[in-house]
Amino acid sequence: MSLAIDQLTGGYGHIPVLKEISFDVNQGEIVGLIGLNGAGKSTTIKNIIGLLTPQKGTIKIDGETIKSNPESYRKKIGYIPETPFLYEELTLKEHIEITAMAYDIPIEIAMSRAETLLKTFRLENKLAWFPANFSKGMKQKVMVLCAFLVQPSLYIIDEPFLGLDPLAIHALLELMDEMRKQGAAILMSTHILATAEKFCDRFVVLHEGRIRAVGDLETLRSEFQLPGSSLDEIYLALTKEEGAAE
Amino acid sequence: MMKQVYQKRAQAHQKKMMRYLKYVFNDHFMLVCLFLLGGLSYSYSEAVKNVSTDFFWGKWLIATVFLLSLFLGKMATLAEEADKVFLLPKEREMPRYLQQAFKHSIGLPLLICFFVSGASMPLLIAVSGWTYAMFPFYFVLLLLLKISNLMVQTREVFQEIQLARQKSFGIWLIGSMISIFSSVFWVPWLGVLVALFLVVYQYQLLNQTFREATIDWEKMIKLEQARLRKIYQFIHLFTDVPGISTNVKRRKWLDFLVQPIKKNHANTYFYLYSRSFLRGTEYSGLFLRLVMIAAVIVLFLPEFWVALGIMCLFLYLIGFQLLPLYTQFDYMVMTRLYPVTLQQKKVAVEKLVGYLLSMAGIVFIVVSTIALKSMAYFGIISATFVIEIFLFVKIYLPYRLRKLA
Repeated sequence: MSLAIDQLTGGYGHIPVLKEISFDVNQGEIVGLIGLNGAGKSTTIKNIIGLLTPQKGTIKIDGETIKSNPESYRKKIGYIPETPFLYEELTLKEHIEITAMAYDIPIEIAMSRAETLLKTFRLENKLAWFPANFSKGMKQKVMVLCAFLVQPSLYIIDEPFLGLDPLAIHALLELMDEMRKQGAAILMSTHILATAEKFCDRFVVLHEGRIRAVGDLETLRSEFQLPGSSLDEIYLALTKEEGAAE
Repeated sequence: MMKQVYQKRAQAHQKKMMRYLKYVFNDHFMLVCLFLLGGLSYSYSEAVKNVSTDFFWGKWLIATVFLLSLFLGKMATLAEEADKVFLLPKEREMPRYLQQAFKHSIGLPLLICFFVSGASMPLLIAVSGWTYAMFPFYFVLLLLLKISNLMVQTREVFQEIQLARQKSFGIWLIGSMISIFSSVFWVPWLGVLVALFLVVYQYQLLNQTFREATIDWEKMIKLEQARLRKIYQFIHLFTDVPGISTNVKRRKWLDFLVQPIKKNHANTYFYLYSRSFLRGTEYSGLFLRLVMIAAVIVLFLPEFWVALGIMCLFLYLIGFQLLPLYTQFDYMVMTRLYPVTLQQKKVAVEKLVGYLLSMAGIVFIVVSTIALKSMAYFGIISATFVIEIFLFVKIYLPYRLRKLA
């Protein structure tokens, strides 16, 4: 078991956004984190990567919490944020270098790993460029590249497909699949349900800060009593449920 | 309607500036300013005493100062990024907005004109034999020229072909030169007349632009951002300004300074800080400016003890201004996620500040040796610097960082 969240309650102020959520992401699986806007997906991710501290409950990666050993906990995570964050002062090549240095990867190994990734994302002749010259999609590619460079045991990918061109989306999905086969755990939040349905092994459906359902597509279908339906239809049913409850 | 929009923005802007100015005019900056102002006015009054009507360059000097002073003060449109979407439907009403902006923008130049013309009077009287009664002419002259300059600036935010823009600026520049020269070298009222004509002419053009031209939103926003960046950069010397985006330059020729840094885990922050120091303009610019100011002061100070005191003071000031380096990357989510200890971050800042202060120290030693024309003080200056830098980096800096973090 790679990521284990147990009874997590957390948020920004006194009123918690997340209420006692528990789920696991195992080695060698991709778990899709889905839910409406404001359901708590980003808050969950922020708690996992350590930008927020849980008010209650625990988050463990390979049995370690961020308190017990912050450096080794952080080293296990590769994070691809929803909006790209890059250093204005550093070129693409230096982004690779600084990531390698921060995650303690020998620079030669990092560069050789980067080489294939650069080719995949068609960035190989842009090593000397600054972020200011990149389009949003290119910036996102750099974020993807830096995360996969580290080859962590857990990938946290927040809404990865926005801004990427179809080629890059395809490449990213292939990379994720490859890492899954190598035994990495991947948690991906997304609204692109058709893609999620195809690639995720299991789903965590968040609704108003609580877990509404966990499991593979079959489990969800029976949970919402929608046999044979797609993830999209289940999602819509969830929306209607919310409307009916009000 | 648009008038109110501007007024509201101007109020908010002024409030913000006031808040920042509190930090700018803190104790030690006030002290430096006071000394500088006192010293300058004293040496100016001494210099004027020795000047008579046969001092040929006097009038040239005044004319140049007058002309240069006209470039101070920019049109404050207070345009915001979102305007190109949200104010777009109000395009036809933008002249009302810009008129208000114009009125607002004239305040600071008014003070500058008053100050420049006032300060030039003693020298002008000394070289020309006129009296203080001429002061109003020069004040009005400068003010009129500045008003016509602001009109030229207002027209900048409209879509016009480059040529028309250059022509308009060219006419203003030549007109201003004629006006200034005729009043400084000949008779004051003549320049005022020329300036008045210039205002009327630019006013006609501006009104025509208001009627016919469309606004260049992108340019208006860019100009305003550039203006604000200058203000914020100045304020940034004293306090943190959120959202100040810095200019980044490649500076390949400085790569040799980073080359020796081993690219391993322990150097993560040191590499990051060094690169960004050399690439950015924020801290490196500040560093260079302070080193240069101190070097120039010391170069003209043949007194050993005073020079040593000033150099030590500047070493402290440079180090002090570099402290915020520590929080420089706090905005970066990715940096906060790095599996790197905070201790490493502290060590990196210590190291970088130590290196920079040592470099400043070496420059100071060279300059003071030249100024004092003697190697006799070399030992004592070096020893003082070594002690000061050691104390700063090892004791004062960790103490300040604890407060910052």
